[in-house]
Amino acid sequence: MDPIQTKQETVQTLQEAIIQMTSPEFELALLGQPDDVVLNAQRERARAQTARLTLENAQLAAIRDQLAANETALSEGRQRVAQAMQNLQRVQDVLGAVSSFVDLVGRVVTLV
Amino acid sequence: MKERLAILGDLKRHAQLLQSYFEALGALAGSNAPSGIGGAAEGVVKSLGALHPSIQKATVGKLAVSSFVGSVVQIAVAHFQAAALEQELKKNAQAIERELDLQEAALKAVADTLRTDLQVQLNQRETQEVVLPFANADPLPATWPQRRKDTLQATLTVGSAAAAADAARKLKLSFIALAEGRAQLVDVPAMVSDINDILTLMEKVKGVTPPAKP
Repeated sequence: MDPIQTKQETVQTLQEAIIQMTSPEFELALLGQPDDVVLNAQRERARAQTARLTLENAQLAAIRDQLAANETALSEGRQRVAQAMQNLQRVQDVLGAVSSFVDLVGRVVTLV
Repeated sequence: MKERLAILGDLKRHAQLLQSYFEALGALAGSNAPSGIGGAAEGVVKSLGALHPSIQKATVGKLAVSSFVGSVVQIAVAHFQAAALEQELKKNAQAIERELDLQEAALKAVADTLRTDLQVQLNQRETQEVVLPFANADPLPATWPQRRKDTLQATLTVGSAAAAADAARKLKLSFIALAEGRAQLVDVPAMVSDINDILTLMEKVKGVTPPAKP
């Protein structure tokens, strides 16, 4: 896959994750969850947003090699996130998929 | 949000110029085209060219318009009965194809920026002001119906930007088909109508500002 396309699809996955994790459906799924789960959800939302903005801002030339090196892992990560988003009630699955995906993005760009 | 959408002024001017070009094209297709129409069309193409760099270099939020620009589509201009129309298309069809592609690219960037950022804001508003009060055992506040209506209206506007990008894409395809003789000349007014629709949608997008929280 072209690195441009890899970057665009990775950004799109992060965008969709952020939208779903701020949706009323997800918020309702968090109601009644233990405090540590709710806090973790907030943390992963913030990490996903940081990852999205950092990746959007990154110059393609500077991350081309990292995108190519992690293309397969990113593709698998995108699929895992998309699958998790199909059932927002499974909060831990959603948080796990997003967290792993953000870690992958961290191999491409430096996340602070 | 308004700073991120500063490009919309240039985009609206760009769309108006494209509308003027298609109107000139419609006049050239007629058998009694006024003599100055060819020159008017050329003037519009030059104005589009002058505006092109600022739109192409622009960013919408963090997204560069240039990253959405597509490859050049080579146009094989057909033979037309109206010689003036054929002459104009042979001269400027390729340039117009690039301008239509730029319009689509810029609207895609706008749609992408709006979709994520505005949708997140809308989600948070909808959760706090509509869904959680409804799920709560307490009586709904008197302002609840209006808040729900405002949220639904804003949701529709997020979709407008994506619809505008799609309309721009179809317009480009229609123009290429026209230049290659695969679309009827009577389709030109429909293309102008498409541009009007884009302008209307852009006005709706520009007018979106989530209401301040009480």
